[in-house]
Amino acid sequence: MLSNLNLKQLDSFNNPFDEYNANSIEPDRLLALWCTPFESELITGFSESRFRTEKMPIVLQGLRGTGKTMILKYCSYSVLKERAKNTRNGSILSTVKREKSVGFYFRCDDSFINTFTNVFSTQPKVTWAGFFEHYLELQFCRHLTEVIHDIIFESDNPKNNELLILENLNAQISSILCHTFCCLKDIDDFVDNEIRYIDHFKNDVIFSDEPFSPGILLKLFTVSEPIINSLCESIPGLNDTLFLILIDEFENLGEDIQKFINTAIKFSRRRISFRVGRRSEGIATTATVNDREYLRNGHDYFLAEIQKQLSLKMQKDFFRSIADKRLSLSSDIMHENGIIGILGDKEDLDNECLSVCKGRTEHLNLILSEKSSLKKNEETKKEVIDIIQNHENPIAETINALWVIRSKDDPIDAAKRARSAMEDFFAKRDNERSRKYKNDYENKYRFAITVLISSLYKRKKMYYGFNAIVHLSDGNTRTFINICRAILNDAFFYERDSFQTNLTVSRETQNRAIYNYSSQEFNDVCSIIKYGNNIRNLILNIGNVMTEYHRDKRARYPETTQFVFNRLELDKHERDVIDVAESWSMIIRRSRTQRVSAGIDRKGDIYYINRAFCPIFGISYRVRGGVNVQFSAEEMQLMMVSLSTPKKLSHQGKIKRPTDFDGQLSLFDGEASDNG
Amino acid sequence: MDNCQLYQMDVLSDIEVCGDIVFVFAPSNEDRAMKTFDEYIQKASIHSIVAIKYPGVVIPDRILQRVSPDRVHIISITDSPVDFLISLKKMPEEYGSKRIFVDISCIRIPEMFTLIKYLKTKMGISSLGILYSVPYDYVFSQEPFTSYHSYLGDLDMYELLGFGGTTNTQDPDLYIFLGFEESLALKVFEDCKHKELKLVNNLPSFSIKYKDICAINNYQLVKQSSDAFFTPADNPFETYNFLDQMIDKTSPVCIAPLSTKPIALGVCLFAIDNDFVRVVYPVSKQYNQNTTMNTYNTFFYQIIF
Repeated sequence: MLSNLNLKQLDSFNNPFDEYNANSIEPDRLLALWCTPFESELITGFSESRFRTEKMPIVLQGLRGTGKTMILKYCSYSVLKERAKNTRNGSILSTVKREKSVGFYFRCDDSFINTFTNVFSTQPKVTWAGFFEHYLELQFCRHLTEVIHDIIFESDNPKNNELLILENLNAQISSILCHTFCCLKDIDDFVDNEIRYIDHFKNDVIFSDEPFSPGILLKLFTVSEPIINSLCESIPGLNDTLFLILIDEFENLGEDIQKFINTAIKFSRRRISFRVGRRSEGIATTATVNDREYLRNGHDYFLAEIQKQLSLKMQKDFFRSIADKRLSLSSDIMHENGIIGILGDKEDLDNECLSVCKGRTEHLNLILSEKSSLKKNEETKKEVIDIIQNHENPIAETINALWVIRSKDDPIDAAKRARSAMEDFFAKRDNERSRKYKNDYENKYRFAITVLISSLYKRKKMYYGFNAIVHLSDGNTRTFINICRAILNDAFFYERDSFQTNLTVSRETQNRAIYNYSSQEFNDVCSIIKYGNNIRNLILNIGNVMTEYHRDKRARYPETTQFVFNRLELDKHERDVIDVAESWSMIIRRSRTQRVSAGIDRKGDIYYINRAFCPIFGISYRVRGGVNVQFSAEEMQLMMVSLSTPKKLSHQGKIKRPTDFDGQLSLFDGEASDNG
Repeated sequence: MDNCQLYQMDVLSDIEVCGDIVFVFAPSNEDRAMKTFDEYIQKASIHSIVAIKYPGVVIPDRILQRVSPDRVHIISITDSPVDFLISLKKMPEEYGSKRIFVDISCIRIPEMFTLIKYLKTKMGISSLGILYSVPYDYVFSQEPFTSYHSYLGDLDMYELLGFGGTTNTQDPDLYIFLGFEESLALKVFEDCKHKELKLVNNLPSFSIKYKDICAINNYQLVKQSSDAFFTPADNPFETYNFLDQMIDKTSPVCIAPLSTKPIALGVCLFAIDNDFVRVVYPVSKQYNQNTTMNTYNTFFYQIIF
């Protein structure tokens, strides 16, 4: 046999952002990396303590990568044990008493669920969901016995406590199980044997024709609740402890099992509650097993939503705390200003435009040619350029050009007015024009012009700096960590010496890493999700439309990134595609319904492409009010099946004449935008 | 040395297949699908044929010229893995007493695993002849690095039927045997909770470039792990030995055999011998019918259970 090589980079560093997937982080590392999301506005209405001790079940809802798994795992027993180690006496019992809750984490693996469903699908439908219930109960019991072992082991009189618990337990379950337990190991053996039988059935018995016949088919809580009661009633101080079943990736469960869990949520027990992690409402049912009762937020459960559109300041504070914590745990990268010291804060758009233009005026020429009178008269155009140009500030001179082409006055007069406003603004002379200029320069067109200038010189807008990364991450912790990780890896590869010396990363390297991450993430997700090709086409087409808006030489709709469509007009398949795209955060629906676009006085859902994909299209990561691109149902359908990007910019603001009335009222038909 | 066993692996042209055999294979549009049947099995007396029929595949008429129609057992593949098992159970029990040869060239990995386990556990066979035709090349629709696509549409993750491993409270180590398509590996990585990730490439691979194609296409995952492991692409027994050496049998393990069929065969044999091993695989409803070109040679592996 070939000897296997264990390739280690001799000259490597430990990237502090390498651990980005909560699924594979060990409990001790998870605790070390934990930055509580409960103290920010990330999860409104819940403190960390309330999240753990609230008796009403809680559905933790958030987009992919927002930290649901991290939060649920943080509440799990394995991480509680790590917290206990960090206390003065290291006592698990004291920690349980103090925290008043113990959680057990269950992740709904697609592969396990698919095969479990498949294996037991040969059984009658009324019973096969019961097998899952039996399996979940056994798993829950197995976790509970681990807690009992640990707590008894710590106690002053283990044997006595064990007997107390067993006496209590046997009194409750002897009639159900028809036998009693003599010691804790008996419970372990009982649970292990039953689980082993399920494994054996799935792996071996299925090859024969034998039916599934476990020793006993348990209902949820038939054994687990007596175990909990025995523990809580036998060990002083545990009486008000809550035991949490933490179910992650709820949407992976089939509808039957979702209904079963919902029923358990609706009728949860005194000492047992649920925390359910799910991505969005669209892909999970709220029905229970009896098909007449549904879960209601506030009645049967509380919804804890990880905020989608958190304020930028909150996002920055939270991400900075995450990054700086990781950096502080790293021995390789220690910058006194943390992540901002390494990446820089904001993009220098003036400098970026300067390095693109390099003193050239082609961009002014192209923009001014948008005005027909200047397009025909090269001499006047040249004269205008001479007036408005500002070699040291391409953004300012481009604003001047926009003022000229938008003015109905003589171009030379308009150019002089623009020049004068620019000079007043830079000289800090306060007047109406300089105030307008200030708004255009500092806010309205700054980013849009940088994208426009880059595109006119066949360059891509660069993305770099902490501020841009926070924008691109858009509240998604995993995206933020992944981008930081990619940047530091690239810095180590492309500019190792300067990186190790200065602990800063050049904007070129940041931009390259961000762009590569963006396109790779897009391709990776599209390749593994349901309707991946439909979603890939849709996003590429929508992105191309946004690019068209960003390259508009008249900059009429600066930084347009949002779009609207009427979901009701889509057929089922297309709605399913949209649901999956949303659940995987490929497109994001804004939290609140809003006016669908400037000039349209109707409310609807507004969407945007995941900000992490903005670098693919070279578009803005910011949200600007005003115009949102409207897509008809036909356009949405077409965009899902092929790369055929509709021309939207040229039609923006034009009245769409209704064609044959199809009996369905449209949200958009006959509407005109006033922004044309 | 008590637990050592020599393995038998030959190029099929060097050996003679004789006796009354049950021949199991999956006809397909690939050249190599019928290679063994047409060229090597001619000399043998075929008792029965089991043809695994994937959607869109036509069973060639010429197989009926070798045996009477009542000795041809066709198993149609559906979306449900359990349907395949139900079909296997309809095979006559007498097959268990015959020499069984399985040409795994065009049998997809999920069916291959279930089939072999079924033959061993239900049919009670003690040995099995496995045939595998190495493709001369794979079909790269564009440039020969990233344009290989074996499937169309969406992927669903499954534990392979009969290979669910044992339930454990610890997270398993995840072994991914790398293939040409990162989407498969990413799907596994995304779905399977794990403690440590171990990536295994082919060395030697069928062609020198193939191991590089695997590395290039799995770049995102390769970046996650500084450990690189290798097994020969054509040798299931070395795959078995590799797993036997690497895996601590007291800890849970999950394996995704996304690489060549012989490597998957090695994983299958190891998992049959070690019931704590969980094997997972991403499955699509639609596959490309032609992913290989011609045949380089055909291996014969003698499996003794």
